[in-house]
This record gives sequence, C-alpha cells and structure tokens, in this order.
Amino acid sequence: MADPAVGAVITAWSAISPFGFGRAAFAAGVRNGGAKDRATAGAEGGDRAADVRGGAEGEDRAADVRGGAGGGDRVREVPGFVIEEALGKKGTFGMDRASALAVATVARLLGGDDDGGDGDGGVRPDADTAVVLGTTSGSNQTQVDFATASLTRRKPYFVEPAMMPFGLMNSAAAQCALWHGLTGANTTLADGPVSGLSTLAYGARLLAAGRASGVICGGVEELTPARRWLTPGEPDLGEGCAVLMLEPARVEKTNGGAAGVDAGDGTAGGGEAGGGRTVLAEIVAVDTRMCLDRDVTGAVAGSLRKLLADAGPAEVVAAATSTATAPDAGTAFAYDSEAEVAALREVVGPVPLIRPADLIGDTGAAGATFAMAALLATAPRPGLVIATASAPDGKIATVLLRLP
Amino acid sequence: MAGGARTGRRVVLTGAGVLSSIGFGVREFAAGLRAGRSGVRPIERFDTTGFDRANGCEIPDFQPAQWIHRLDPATLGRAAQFAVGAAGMAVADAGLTAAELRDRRGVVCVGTTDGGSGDLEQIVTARVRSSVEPETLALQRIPASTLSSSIARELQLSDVDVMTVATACAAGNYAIGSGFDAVRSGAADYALCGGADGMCRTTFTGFYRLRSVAPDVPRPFDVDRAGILTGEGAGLLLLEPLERARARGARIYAEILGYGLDCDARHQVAPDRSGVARCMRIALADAEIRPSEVDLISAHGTGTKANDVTEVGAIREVFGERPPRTVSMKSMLGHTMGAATALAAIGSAVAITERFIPPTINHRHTDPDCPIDCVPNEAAEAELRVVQNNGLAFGGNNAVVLLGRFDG
Repeated sequence: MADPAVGAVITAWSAISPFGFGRAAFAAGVRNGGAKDRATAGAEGGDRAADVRGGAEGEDRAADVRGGAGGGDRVREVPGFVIEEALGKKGTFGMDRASALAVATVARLLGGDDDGGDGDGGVRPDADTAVVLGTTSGSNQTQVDFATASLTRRKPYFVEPAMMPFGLMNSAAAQCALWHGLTGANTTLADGPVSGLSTLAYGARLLAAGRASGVICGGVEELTPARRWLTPGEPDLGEGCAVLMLEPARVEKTNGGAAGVDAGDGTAGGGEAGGGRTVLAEIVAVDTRMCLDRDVTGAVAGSLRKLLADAGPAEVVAAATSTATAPDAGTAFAYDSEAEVAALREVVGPVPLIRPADLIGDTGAAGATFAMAALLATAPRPGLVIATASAPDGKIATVLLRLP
Repeated sequence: MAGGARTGRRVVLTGAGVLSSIGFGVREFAAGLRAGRSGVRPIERFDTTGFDRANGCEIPDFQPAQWIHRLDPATLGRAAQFAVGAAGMAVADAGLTAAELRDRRGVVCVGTTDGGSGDLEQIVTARVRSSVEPETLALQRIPASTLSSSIARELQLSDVDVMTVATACAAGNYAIGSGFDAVRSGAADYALCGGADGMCRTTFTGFYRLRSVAPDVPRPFDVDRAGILTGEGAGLLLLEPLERARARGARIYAEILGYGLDCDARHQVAPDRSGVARCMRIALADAEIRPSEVDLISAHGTGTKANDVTEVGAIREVFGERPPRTVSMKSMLGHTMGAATALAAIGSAVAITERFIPPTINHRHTDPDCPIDCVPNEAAEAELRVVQNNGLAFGGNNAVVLLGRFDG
C-alpha cells in the first residue's frame, strides 16, 4: 500500500549529545567510536562531576534520590550542559532538563549549527513549520520533585506552580515552539525508544496530508537522578536531543525563490538542491508493527523484509540500531539491540553497523534519532541505510533512507 | 495550514467505546449527556488530606477484569486499563471482532496527558512515606506508550502502527486526526484512536495551585465559574474508510470531515485567542466547511476564567456575532485530560445521530464576556449536520476536529 513517508526528505539535523554540542561533535564522536565516560565529562563540565542534576538547579531538588549515579554504572550526561548557561535566566525558572536540551538543539538546527565549520545557513521556518518530538514519560525529575514537594510540605499544594507545565510530557515540544516562535502543528509522541522513527513517520504523514510545510522531528531524553532511580538495572544511561528537518521531496509552489529539489551530488554533506536546499537523505520506506511474542528478532526481520521489498539488500551500505541492550529480564519483552542486530544480519547481511547506545548510553526517546543522525554523519554516500528500533512493550519500527 | 483539496478516502466513525464518570458504553454515555448527568463526587482515588476542596469526576466502579481479557490488568496502569477497555468496546460496538482487524493494516493511536503518572505518584508516595523502593512491575506501568501498545497486545494486532500522543489536554483530538490521516490516505484500513487518563494527584495539585479547581462543580461560561474538576476515563473511536463500512453494512455514527492543528507559541499555560482562532480556521478549511455550516461547537470549555473567555473570543472571531450554539461536556464529565476531546468527539457524534445537543450543566448566569448560547442545563432537540470539537492544551497545543452527519 502507499507509504506516506515516501516523498519526504531530510534536509538538516542537529544534536546535543554526550559527545557535546552540535553536529560536528556528535559526528566526530561516532567516527571515533567511543564516548567520554562520566569522569571525563565531569571534568569538562565543571561542577557537574559531583552529581547528575535535574532541570531546575538548586531549590528543593530531590538530592537524595536513591539509586542515583553510583557504583560502577556509567552515566553519560551532556558535558557542561547547564540550563541557565545554555538558555539564560529568562524563561528557564522551573524548566526541566529535557525541555532545555530540546530548545537548545532546535536553536542549533535553526541557526545552522556552524560550530563544526560545516554550517548550512540554518533552517528557515515559516508559520506552518511543525515540531514533532518523542519522549518516554516527559521529565521524570520534574514529576518526582513536584509529587515529593506535595507530599512533604506543610500543605499539599505548597508546590512551585512554575514547575507544573514542565512536568507535562508535551513540555519539550511546546517549549521549542515558544522559544522559537514555531506556530505549526506541535505534537509529542510518547513512544519511548521507538520515538525517533515514530516522529519521522508521523512527520512525513503531516507533510503528505499538507498539514505542514516542514517538520522538525526528533527525540529528547534527560539524565537525572529521577530517571536513574526509575531505571534500575540499566547500567549505562545517556541523554541528549537529536532533531531532523523533514521537508517535502518536491516543493510544488515556489515561495520566495524556493525551488524543486534535485538528487544529491554525492558529496559527504549531501546533495545541494537547486533551491538552496540540501538533501541529506530521502525517506524510502518506514515500517511499524507490534511484536506480540518474545521473538523480537523475527519481528524486526519481518519488518526489514517489507522495508526492502523494492530494494535489494546489496544496496544497503550501513545500518544503525537504536535500542539499548535491555538489562532486565523482568520487562515484558526481551527487547534489545542484539535482536535488532541479529535481524539485520539475517536480512541484510554483513553491513557496517552503528550502535549509538554503545557510544552514548541509553538515550531513551532520543535513541532512534541519534541512530539516524549517526548514519547521516558517517555512512558512505551514495547508498541505502537502515535504522531499527524496538521497545520493551513490543513496538517495532524500521526505516530505509537513501543517502545521495 | 490545511490539507487543501480533498483527496483520498472518506473516513467514518463506526464504533465507539466509552468509560466515563457518567456511564460506560455509548448508549449509557449518550443517555447521560441527554439527561445532563453530573459525574461529580468527592475524590477517593488519592489522599486529599490538606486540600480545602477535593471534588472530582472519578469512575468509582471500574472493574478492569470485566473489560480486559487477555492481559493481566495488574500489569497495566489505570489509564492503560481504561484505554484497553474502551478499545474493546469500540471494536464490539462497530460490529467487528479483533480477529477481523488482525487481517487488516491498522493504526492504534491513544492520546494522554498523564500516561502512567498515577503509578509514578504511588512509587514516590511509597518512598516518601515508607522508604519502599519500586518494583519492576510498577515501573513498567509508567511509560505512556503502554496506553496504545496494550491495546494491540490485548487484541493481538501485529500489523499495526501504535502511537501514544502526549499533547496534554488536546491529545484525544490529535490522536483522532492521526488516525483520520492514516485511513484517508490508505496507509491503514482502520484506526482505533482516542484518549485515556486516570485520576492523578499531580494534575489535581497543579491545577489547585494554579487556583483553577472549582470548589463544587464546573460551571463553564458562567460568570461565577471558578475552574475545572479533574476527571478520568477513556474514549476510543473506530474509524474506517467509508467503502469498507458500507460494504459490511456498518452503522455509521458520523463522518470525520477534517481537522486542524496549530501551536500558539505564546504562553505555557494561557491560551491565545489568535492561535485558537487560527486552529479553527485550519480545521474548517481542511474539512471544506464554511463557518456558517457549523451547527454546534463542542467547546474545550474547561470552566476556568481564562479558557472560556479566550475560547469564546476566538469562536466569535471565526464565526462572527452569531456563533453556533457552544456547549461544554466538561460540565458533566469534568476535565478528563487526554480523554476529554475524545469523549467530546464521541458525544458530538451521538449528538448528530440522536438529534440532540448535550447541555452545559451547572449553569446560572452566562458571563457577559462569554456571549454564546451554551444550551444551559437542559438538552435541546436539534438536527445537526456539522459539529466542531475543540481541544486546547497547555503549551498552546490546539487541535480541532470536525464531524459531519453521514447522509450517504
């Protein structure tokens, strides 16, 4: 059947990750194949070495959250990311870390992310530019702090009202709109580790239906004591935000000089389009399904076969998994990147594999967008690339991208 | 930005599942709306000690095992239980079986404000009060994704795109819109979409702190309105392409004509009149409906000072000096958060089918700053061709859905 994702292209991306700020830092980190561990990040991040703090620094943080970073666990925060330093004091009182990461990442996308010398001049949003962001459960830290305050203060309503909207799951997407004046559709998908591919498919559907002129889609996850506490047994947590700019492959109406997009010219940066747009990747197909038993490998393999129905596996030059290895046998399904790897080996064969979770930790709802970003940054061009994702409650998603 | 020229398949609503404080199932729900039933009662789901006022719109008598057959209800949070229960009801109400859905490509899309926040609160409470650390089972109930994935697991749907939309109090309309697009484009042959939320102490506390919880009952559009009452429940809609519904002789409640999304991008919690008006215009353009063709507006109508005056202002901006009758089902259901717009969409559909306008109850004196006919206290008989269902959320996330009578 018609795949609504066909007809959309990725024209820009940015990321704030445990590798640091921006596209170049992430690309270099993936190429080098290693991540700064906690100690290194702490040294660079100054006072963040002592603990992993949540959003609103200071007042009444649940500093005593048990299960906080400790023992031999690796904790990979974005080095040096302090909300007030990144965004200033205005408008950040009570702000959650996830929203701040998202606002700062979208700022880089819009501004051209020129720190690495490969700036593209930025994305020019209009009134119909949509924002579609993925999350797992929003800011756990804000939610835990708010609930704790209500339970421990003299009156249950002696809570900080400014924190309330930051505790809602739509905070990050809404804050991106507020900070950057983005008045288009503004959607939050709570799809956990599959979110990156969900937001891509949903964004493409918005474009296909004519509901947006372009879509900023991606995912964000914060690393805080509360998330640490609520993710026992996950030894390697990361955080960050990655966003992609999704646009229609063909621009029907020219407006202010915008023109149609050509195929890419094969340079590492993607194809320079006639209208000044750079096509970094074309979405060839997206598949989503549910795994109803424990055979995640079989479900991902089935998804990949459908994805490659019209393309030969031989054209695939690289693949990336999204999901971190599930440490806890108690989850409903045996999900992990091993299943995704096994399925890729079975269906696609021995292609170079990128496993971002091994490099930056489990970045939750940001993981699948980081996987696509890793492919955009490092995969050989031209060629087809695949990103896979699987969630503990059974959702499977795969995407096939053509890199010009 | 509207979808522009209508292409693709017509999309109809053939089944609905309702779990609400005024009744379970479409029939009971419709009877409750017609009677102007109030779901208000003292909150019992969580400890309200220390609050000066604590009414809400709970579902006091929900037995999950009555509605959930395959999954163990203990593995699901309250919102997921509601979602699964209402989904099963919607499928049955459409005259379908889960087995019939398994052969088709589908979408399951559930909107929510709080997801598994109720379980998170219980975990935090256990730690604060008794230093108890969370168990794996409790942690698994938290992620909001379980609201939609649990439906697929309960109904054993594998060829399905499951999504949980977390756009706060407009999430139900977002989910309906997403399902509508998938069915209209041909990407899916059915959509199970709507919204669900369980009573949540955090949400109650937040609105309370914002001085937006009513002391007794919600009074939308009333000069003495003092806020919302938080509620809970689920509304799930089964959408199908018209030709499939026709081919199997399905009862059609209404046609989904179109929808609109936009973002105020102005304020975190205060709605913006121009952003809300723009969203209505987008939805009307998408549905190719003129404002004069709308017979009824199912308002977001929370009953807070800010919402009602802003929303009515936006309605008058779009519809002029004589806007269609505008009602708030939240006067009966309370504010069911992510379920609110989904329940109101189902209410809009049965209003069309059963030819009545649900009233705005608890109404005494219409606020001169909210000059609309809110059909106070008593339902009205009416032939409705087009109903507009508004959803406004914190974060400026607006979503408006248009439903139309299906005349063939």
